Amino acid sequence: MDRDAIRAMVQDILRDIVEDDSVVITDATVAEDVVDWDSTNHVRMMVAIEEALNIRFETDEITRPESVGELVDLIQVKLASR
Amino acid sequence: MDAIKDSPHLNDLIARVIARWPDHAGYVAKSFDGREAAVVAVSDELARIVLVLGAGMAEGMDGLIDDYRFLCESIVLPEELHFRRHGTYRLTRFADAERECYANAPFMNRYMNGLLVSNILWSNHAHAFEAYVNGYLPKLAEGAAHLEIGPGHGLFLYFAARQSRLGRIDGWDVSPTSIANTRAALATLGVERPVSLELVNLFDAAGAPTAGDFDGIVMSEILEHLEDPVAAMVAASRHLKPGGHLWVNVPANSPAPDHIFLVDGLDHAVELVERAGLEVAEKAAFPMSGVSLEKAIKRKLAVSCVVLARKPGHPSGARLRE
Repeated sequence: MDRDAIRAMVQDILRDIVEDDSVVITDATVAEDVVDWDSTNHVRMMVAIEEALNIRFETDEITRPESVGELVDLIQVKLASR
Repeated sequence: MDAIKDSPHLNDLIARVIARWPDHAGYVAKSFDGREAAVVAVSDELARIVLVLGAGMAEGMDGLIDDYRFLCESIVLPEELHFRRHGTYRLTRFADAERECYANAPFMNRYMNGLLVSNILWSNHAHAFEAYVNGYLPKLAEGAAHLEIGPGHGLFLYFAARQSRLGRIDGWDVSPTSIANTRAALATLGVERPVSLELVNLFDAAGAPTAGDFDGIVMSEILEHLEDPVAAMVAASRHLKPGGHLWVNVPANSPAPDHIFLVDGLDHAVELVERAGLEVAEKAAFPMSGVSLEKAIKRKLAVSCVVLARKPGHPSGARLRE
């Protein structure tokens, strides 16, 4: 998956988690930019990403990404090592 | 935050939390958005108390706030991850929770300190506390005997101790450390009236003091720590007078390293209380910060379930108000 496809998938999952189809994310987006992207919903989103891509985050990786761009980077690493 | 503009202690506490942990400001704002005046009033008094307790701690309020952050980020978050992956709590046996948590005094100290603050900043905790202060306590009449099982940080007992009309106030715990912490908290807060704190195993009927049954018993955030919460309520209700009240506060879908019994919602909490042979008089569910109850149920998010139950029988001997 290329970065655009990963970002689009993250956006779909995030929209589902926060129940808002108007959410649009870019690499610069941070959690504070999205209403309801709180710590619990972040964990729910990360687990949904794990299930969608058959990858597993380490516990310390769950909160490591500080932006969507960093999250996409992390997912690429995980996909590459799968 | 309009809801707390006239709450000096809350403003003080929140300013300290945000100064220490700026990224938490959004969560705090969400938690207080629309919080009812009665809940804010109790939260403000809790903030006053926590500021007093924090000032008396070796690390001061900053240390207490660090412990609260530790609770949010290092205690709850990994368990939340397990819960979201598997739909279960990570541990199910008391012995495992004891080994991982209760036997680790430094960890438990930070955990308990964090919970002092959560009673104010977490919406579900704050609402459950208000239900205890304005719902349960006023039902105890002149001379009533009140017992809390597992008083922990001592905040609930402190509010009971302020009710001068109560005839007797007891706290039971299985942990000498917990009893010592409760005693120290009540002393720091200047409680002068007698509060009997005893080392009692609820399941050890022979060891439980039975002189005088209780008009009201509180089990707040206890059941989720037990393998058999129904048996615990059955044991507790033996110490209630007929017609006496058992006030239960149990979190649903609320993972923590020492939560071993998963309650999945208010209906489940009510079912447990009824299986213990008690009659449910009142019930309420309070969702986690920033989420409606409907959404919390749909997403299996944390909800504090409060049940006021009554021991069957003629209440002629119970000192309770209608």
